[in-house]
Amino acid sequence: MTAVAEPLTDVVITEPGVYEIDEATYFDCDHALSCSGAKLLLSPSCPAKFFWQQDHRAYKDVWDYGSAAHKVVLGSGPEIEVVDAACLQQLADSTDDAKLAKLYAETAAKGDPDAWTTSAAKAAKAVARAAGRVPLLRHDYECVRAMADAIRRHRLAGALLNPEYGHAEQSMFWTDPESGSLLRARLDVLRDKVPGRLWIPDYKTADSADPEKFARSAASYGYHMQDAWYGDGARALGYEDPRFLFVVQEKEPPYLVSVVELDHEARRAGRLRNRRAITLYRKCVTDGKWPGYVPDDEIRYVSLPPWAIRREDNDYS
Amino acid sequence: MTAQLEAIAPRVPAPTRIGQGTAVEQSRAVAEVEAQIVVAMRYPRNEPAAIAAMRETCRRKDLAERAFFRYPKAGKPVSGPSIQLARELARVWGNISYGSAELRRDDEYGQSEMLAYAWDVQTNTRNAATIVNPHRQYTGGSELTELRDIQENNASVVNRRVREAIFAVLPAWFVEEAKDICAKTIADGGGIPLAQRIANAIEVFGNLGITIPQLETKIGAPSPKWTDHDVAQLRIIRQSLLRGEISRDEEFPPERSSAAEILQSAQPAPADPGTAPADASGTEHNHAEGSCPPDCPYRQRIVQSAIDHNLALEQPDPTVPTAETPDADSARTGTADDRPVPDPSTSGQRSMIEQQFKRLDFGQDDESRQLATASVLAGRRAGIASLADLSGDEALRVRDALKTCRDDGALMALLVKLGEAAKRAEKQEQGGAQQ
Repeated sequence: MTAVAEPLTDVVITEPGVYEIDEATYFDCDHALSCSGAKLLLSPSCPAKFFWQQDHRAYKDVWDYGSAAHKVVLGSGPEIEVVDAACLQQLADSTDDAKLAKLYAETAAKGDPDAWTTSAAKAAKAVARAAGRVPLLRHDYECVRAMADAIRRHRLAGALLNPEYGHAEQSMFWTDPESGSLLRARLDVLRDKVPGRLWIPDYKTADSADPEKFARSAASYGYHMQDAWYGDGARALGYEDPRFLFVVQEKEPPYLVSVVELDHEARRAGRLRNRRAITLYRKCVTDGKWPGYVPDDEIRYVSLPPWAIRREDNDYS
Repeated sequence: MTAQLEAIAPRVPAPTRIGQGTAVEQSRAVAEVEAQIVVAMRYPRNEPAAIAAMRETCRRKDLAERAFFRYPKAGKPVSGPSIQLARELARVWGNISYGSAELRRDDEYGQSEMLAYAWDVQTNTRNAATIVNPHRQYTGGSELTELRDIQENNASVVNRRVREAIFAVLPAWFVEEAKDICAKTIADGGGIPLAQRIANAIEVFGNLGITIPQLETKIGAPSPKWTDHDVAQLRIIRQSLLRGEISRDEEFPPERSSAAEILQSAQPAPADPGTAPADASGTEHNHAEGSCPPDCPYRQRIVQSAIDHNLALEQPDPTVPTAETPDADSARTGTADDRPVPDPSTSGQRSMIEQQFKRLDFGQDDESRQLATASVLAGRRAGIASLADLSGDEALRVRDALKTCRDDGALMALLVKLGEAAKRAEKQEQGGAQQ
């Protein structure tokens, strides 16, 4: 993905600080460990997968919705390309390929596409993606706008994610005091224009904004690691007692919003897991080895799960 | 025959040579055990005297304060009678032999084998446990390699087992009564009035960086309503904190985030047309750019820009007030001339503006058009001769406004909107002047 600003080149960030860099530049700073990277280093992933993904970063279509929601809510990030009849007609008018122009025009004549199934819609999506924009169908875009409105109407979420209270999409870099590794994190918004405690909101779109379900998602997706990671990063950069909050919003009407804070135990567990990841990262960097699930000079001895053994025993008893 | 025996029961590896000191120690150990049993038989414990001694010692504040431990397990504090109380009760009960021994230390496998035991030599009741203790930290599981760390870790583990062994051989009623007396001794507080003890507790915890709301959350009641028992609990917690059995954050988790605090920080500030909200949907916000007091610590962490390839960190001096945030003195005098000159824009900030113009393909061949636009976005009526005329804050404002524009059409729409707002403001000013 390409962000709004011109991508910066030849930028190698080596000093701790808060930087305003575009998303692509941030992702290119892979000499600094991010929280997503830390998650990839640990089980159920492994260092080998982390290492591979450093050079093979894949973009998934399912992220489009979240990216677009971030753009509309925070006003920062890659531009949105609404793929509708007007867009297709514009593409038909601008392309030099007569065959493609005809395809675009025919599809545009049928109205706004409601799925990515048609060839014209797929082509328009590819064009938008190539231009660094986030392609969205018209009805999805309307949903994203409705989501943004719901966020603004929500007292807490509106206050937390209002970009006027800080700077959107900021990148933090800091040095881990224990390992000396450079770490990084990208904030949705750095609320540094308002006095008081630094709140670090993180906007997440989800199937459910139910806090109980979010707690399960937090365990599955390592959100507790993110909480501790970002908080520790802000603390390392001089912010006193920062607090990390999740703003969770459902992707279906009525686009319910919950502001969620993980408790101290979750944060502590996340911090311990982060420490393991950072230590492992340092070791892998020092050794130049990125092992898979099992080191390549080791045979792992495994048993069947207890339930499978019981099932086998029952079959023969 | 020997060969047959060895085939079914191989010899246990044993040191090939026993030194004189070891031989003496072995003999001494055997003699000591025999002597303990003989002495216990000859001088059996006087139970009423032991009970009286227990009651006496448990009424002592020094022991009572160390009689309970507290440490976290699975997120919740676990508490119970401490090793100090166990040792004291063993002493007063009498004829109890207890202790620990490190049987083997294996640095290769990173583990130590240890023995913890307590033995009532009079009744010949013995409780012993052999522990294989890995050389690892409890939290995080990182490996211990320093000799001192291993020793401390082993001592910590084996002491807990000794404690359990002593309590296992002592009569349960004896231990329970001792715990009750210790708890009462702590609650009594050595005759100091409760209000004074509450104040002392608040002060002592305050020195540890723990606030009154945190204490009240822990106790579950406001401080004026604390009881003897509550203060006693706090004393136990304090002792555990000082002994390092539990960390401050585990015992007193940070205060939960407060919605009121967030909403308070987001009070609407006077609108500033120069800072258009970054809103792609076009919905207008009621909030404008939050004003930040000059002494706000967060203002010091001004966003740094990496657009300068030399990565010059742009941190305006927070002590120098900008035009947006005049310092308190100049605001009182009310004369703009008294205000310090705002920080000029940096080359990085100007470069960012140029890049935004380039992205929008706006005025690439007409610099005056770009300058006019920048002056409108910065809220400068008089216009600017070059981007270098902009202050640092103005440059950031221009950049932010440009970033909100998807294309040059959106920029034109924004300029029209700002132009209309400026005209309205001008008319209002003229109206005010005529009145």
